[in-house]
Amino acid sequence: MTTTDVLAKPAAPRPRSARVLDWLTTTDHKKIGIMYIVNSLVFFAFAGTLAMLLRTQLMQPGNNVLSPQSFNEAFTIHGTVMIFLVILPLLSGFGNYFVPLQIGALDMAFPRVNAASFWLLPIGGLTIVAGYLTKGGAAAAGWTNYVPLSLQGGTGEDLWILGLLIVGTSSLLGAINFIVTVLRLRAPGMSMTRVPIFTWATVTTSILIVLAVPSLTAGLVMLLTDHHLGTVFFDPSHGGSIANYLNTFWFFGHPEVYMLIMGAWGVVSEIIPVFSGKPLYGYRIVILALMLIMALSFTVWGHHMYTTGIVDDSFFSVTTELISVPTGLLVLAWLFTLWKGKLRFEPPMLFALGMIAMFVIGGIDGVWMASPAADFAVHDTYFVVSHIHYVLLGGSLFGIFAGLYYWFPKMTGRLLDRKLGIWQFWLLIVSFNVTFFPMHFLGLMGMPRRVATYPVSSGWGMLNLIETISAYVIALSMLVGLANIIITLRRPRTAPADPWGGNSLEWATMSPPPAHNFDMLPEIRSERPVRDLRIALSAAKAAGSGPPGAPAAPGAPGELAAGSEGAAGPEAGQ
Amino acid sequence: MTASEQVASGAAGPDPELLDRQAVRSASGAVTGMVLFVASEGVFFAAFLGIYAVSYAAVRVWPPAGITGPSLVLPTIGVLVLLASGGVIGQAMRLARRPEYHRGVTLWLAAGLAGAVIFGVLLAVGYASIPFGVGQGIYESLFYVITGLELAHVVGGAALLAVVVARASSGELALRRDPVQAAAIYWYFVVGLGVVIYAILYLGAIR
Repeated sequence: MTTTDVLAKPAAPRPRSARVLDWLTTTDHKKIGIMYIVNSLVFFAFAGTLAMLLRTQLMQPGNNVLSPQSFNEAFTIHGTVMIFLVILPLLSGFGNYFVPLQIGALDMAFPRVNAASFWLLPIGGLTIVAGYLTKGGAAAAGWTNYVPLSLQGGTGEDLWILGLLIVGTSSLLGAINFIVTVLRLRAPGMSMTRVPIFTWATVTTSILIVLAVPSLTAGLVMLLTDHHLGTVFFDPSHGGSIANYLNTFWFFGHPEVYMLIMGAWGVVSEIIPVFSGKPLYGYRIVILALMLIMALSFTVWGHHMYTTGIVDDSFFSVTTELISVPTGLLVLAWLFTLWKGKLRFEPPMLFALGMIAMFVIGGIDGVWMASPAADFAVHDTYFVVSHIHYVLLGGSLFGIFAGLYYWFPKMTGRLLDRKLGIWQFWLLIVSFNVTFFPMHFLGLMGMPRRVATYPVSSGWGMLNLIETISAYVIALSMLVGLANIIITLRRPRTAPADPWGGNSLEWATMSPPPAHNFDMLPEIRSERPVRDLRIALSAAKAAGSGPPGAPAAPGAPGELAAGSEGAAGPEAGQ
Repeated sequence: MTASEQVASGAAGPDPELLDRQAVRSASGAVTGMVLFVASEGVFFAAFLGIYAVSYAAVRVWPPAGITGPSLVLPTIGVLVLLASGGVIGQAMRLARRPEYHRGVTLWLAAGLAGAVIFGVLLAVGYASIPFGVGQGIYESLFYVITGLELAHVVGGAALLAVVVARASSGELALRRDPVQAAAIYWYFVVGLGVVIYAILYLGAIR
């Protein structure tokens, strides 16, 4: 039995009730991170089921699986839950677990605030979903919740607003915590230009949350007061305006899109270098690109309102085209990292590559629609539905799956099954494209989004049927992933400290890490401290000066890649 | 201990040096956290003030015809009290920054708290004499919602100051001064907000 095994198990088995209480009251960022992820996966299953219902309803023209009212409720709750309770908190979960590890800290800056941010999430989420239990049903005005439609809603609508206020508070507290943690708790030597890209992405995401979420909060407060206290913010007959809602919502709503994707970019920027055996191409340019995107994302909200006539379309068109420049830099950085690398097609790498490909498709759709002329044609059609799913499912969720496969061994001490992972990837990427690519065509043919059914004469039946069948394959791929997690969790903890040959500090501690994270930190002289350590170790070994019987360097599979790089790494110039 | 042992060995317990660093740095984290929180609060109010600006720009007469603006007596006294409380809290922070603990910190904080309470009471009492209702128009809606949120922030600030006063009088702040700093930053925000709201909603409503 090695020392790792001793530490991995508690000294004496504790009663189950004590362990449960431990989780309920913990302030350990790692346990909170896992709770974030588990909570999000539960909501993911729920919102995914709603998506299956929506697709079943749309399977053939004139279908009657869902009434128009339940269809409206289903797409509203599906969108809201996926955005606010699945993608963002999954990235926060990874952030919680790995940001302190990546910067060599013991915990987040405010551990108790961290626990509060987590516990607000299920409370807010259940508040939103509880709309289903009310007489009028759940909120049904879409995730954008436009007035005046949303002002006609009943209790479900109010629960939606209250739930989002709670979830927004959770995000805000979490974001402040992340920023302070990274600013204040970095290990010696960990300058901001050595911080891993995932941590950087968490910081830029958090800045977006701090500066954008309050705008949503203001919009929600006005919705509540207009609905219940008789204010007239959105009532044109009394000097109010619908534009007041559109502006406050989208001033939040567009940065929101970047909150959902930046973390996934961060995950991919961690994985691509590790599985290419090369440093990230243009590490500093990637940071610059993240910051540019963060800043520019506050200037593009009007592109959601081209057709309303209340914004300057040409201004927002230019800023929107502009934001594709730093985004393009990111994609180029990943491609140049892959170029001539020793690629290892493990599941995390597959999902990361899938993310890049899918995100580029979704991104090009976005550049396309940045042109007001094109947008007028496809506004509120399935073209837009295709775009958001390419960005949020093909982009964010593929990135999140990449992260799940990459970090699962660190979080649980167990490697997810490789074969099942590869199966899940191929099932998902094929079915994802078969489901969502034809939506481009449906959009161009004029099929409107958010409408419960369509006539036979429209000729949209065949594509919709194909999409629905394929959507069930997406669900199947998710079940494969779930099975993989369940099977793996029943296996013994055999994952080494560094199974992939990683670069960042989370790989310099045990899998899973002890409660205090690090017994000792390696010296940090570049943005890849663990790789530096590995090279130093193999050099010492080659020189024969290693201590007799010293354990092998962490990450045996990575050693080859690291060794083959030679000394001409980018650090030489720093 | 060699580097490989660092990674693979399981010597239990964290490095004491790491623990020390965490303790020292998380102390100043409260101040950074408060700065970020206040930034976010600023955006929250900016959203309402933005709507105010847009509504203002959309009409020729402001406030819209037929509205008598609120009385200026109580709000003017209130904003002066608020400014004074800001100065008082500033003095508390200056004393707290001294290398040796100064007992006057508690007194100055308590004086600032009193100012906060007086301002809050004046604001609340002022509602009785407002000559318009919430639903008559966009100016009225903005007036009630913005000042209502301001009042909520004054109550929150007073609660925060009360906690700091309690901690100061127990002598705890002799060891840590960042609670005073964090509370002061929040209170400066409330003071600044009060002045902006006074200028826009009260002075701006004079014809």
